[in-house]
Amino acid sequence: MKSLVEIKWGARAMVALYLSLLSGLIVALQYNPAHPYYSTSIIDTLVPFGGFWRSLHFYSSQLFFLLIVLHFIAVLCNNPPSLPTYSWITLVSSMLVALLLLFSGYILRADAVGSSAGRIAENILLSVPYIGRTLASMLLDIEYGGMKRVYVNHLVGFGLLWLVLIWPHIRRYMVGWRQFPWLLLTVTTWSALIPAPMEPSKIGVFHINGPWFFIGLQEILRYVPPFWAGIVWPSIFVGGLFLLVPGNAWRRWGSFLVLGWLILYLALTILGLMAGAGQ
Amino acid sequence: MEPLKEETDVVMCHKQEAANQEGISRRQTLKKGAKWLGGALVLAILYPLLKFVGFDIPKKPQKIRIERDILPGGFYLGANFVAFAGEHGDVWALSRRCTHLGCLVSYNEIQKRLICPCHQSVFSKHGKRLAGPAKLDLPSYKISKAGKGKSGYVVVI
Repeated sequence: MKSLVEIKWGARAMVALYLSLLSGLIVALQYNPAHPYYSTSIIDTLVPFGGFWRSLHFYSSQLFFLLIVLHFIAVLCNNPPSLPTYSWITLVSSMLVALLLLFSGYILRADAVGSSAGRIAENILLSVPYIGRTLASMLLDIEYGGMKRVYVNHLVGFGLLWLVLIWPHIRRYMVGWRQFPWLLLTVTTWSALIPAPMEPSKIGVFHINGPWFFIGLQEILRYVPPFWAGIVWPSIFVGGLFLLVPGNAWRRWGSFLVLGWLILYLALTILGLMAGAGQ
Repeated sequence: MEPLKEETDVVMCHKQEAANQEGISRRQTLKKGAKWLGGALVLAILYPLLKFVGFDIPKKPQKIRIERDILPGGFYLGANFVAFAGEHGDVWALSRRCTHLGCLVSYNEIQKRLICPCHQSVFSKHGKRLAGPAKLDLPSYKISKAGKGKSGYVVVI
């Protein structure tokens, strides 16, 4: 049996991406950023096969991100040959942009979780000294523009940025969509059976949890000011990832930093989930 | 005569080398200049881009009509605001945007408090910040009776 680190996670991630792009394009034909929650609800309930296409977009995108994380871990475990620092930083940055793509998708559905997550992210950006307003305007601008800029960035901006960052890497490993038929079949069947999440705003709700990757951050924001919790704290993790560059003398320290951060984040996530369950 | 020719060759060689070096340094200077010019051009494009993107188009003031009267001691929860009626006929409206990170607060009728579901900031019925990570009170909105003979109110947000 193949060891887990030998599996080509990256190739599978590409196939999940093809599915995500195709389904995203289809969902975009009915989605209206001027009435985000209304149009998402209509796609789910009235548009023929709307629920299926939204589910397919949601689950294939989630899978894409999970698979690139697995690919990243597998590469690190396989003792890769040394790499120029610039290339490594570009690759790690592409992973962060992929997370932004995932996150902007969450915001766009504009349900209770999505709109709150968007507002929180915008206010965190606004807490950055000097350039906060510019950053918030370029990436989200929910306060003044609603979902307009989030939509533009999700559809074009982040996608293009991701492609620019990842292109030198993926052009060497072209993956055909027919290479993993079981993956296509599983995700499609799963999406046909399990609807994508949607949480309408309810009166009398006094606790909501953000997307799974956001819960730890949400928890720390309870105790620490937005700039430190939302900018400095995640930057420590990103800095640790940058230090993991193969062949770098600081790699050992980077590993400690990343692992320590992840353990703390997991603890915060569990705390957040427990707080949510207790409400 | 031979040594003299050799000397001339050496001088020619030095002259050639000096000319080459001059050429290289000129090329380098030109390259450096082009780089600076490129950088300046990027900045020149970046500035109007950031100014364009960073401009917040002012929001149109919205007048929202509440169709019914609020009973004394009661409240009305709108999409972005909450309106309260006091025991003596006084009414006031507050923004539902939490001053911590902008989530929508909900009114807890048992505790008589506005609570943010994201990070549990707590505010009084009058918008005063009581607990949690928020540092500021909730902003208030202008609210008035809908008009003579009409029930309900108009909130300007």
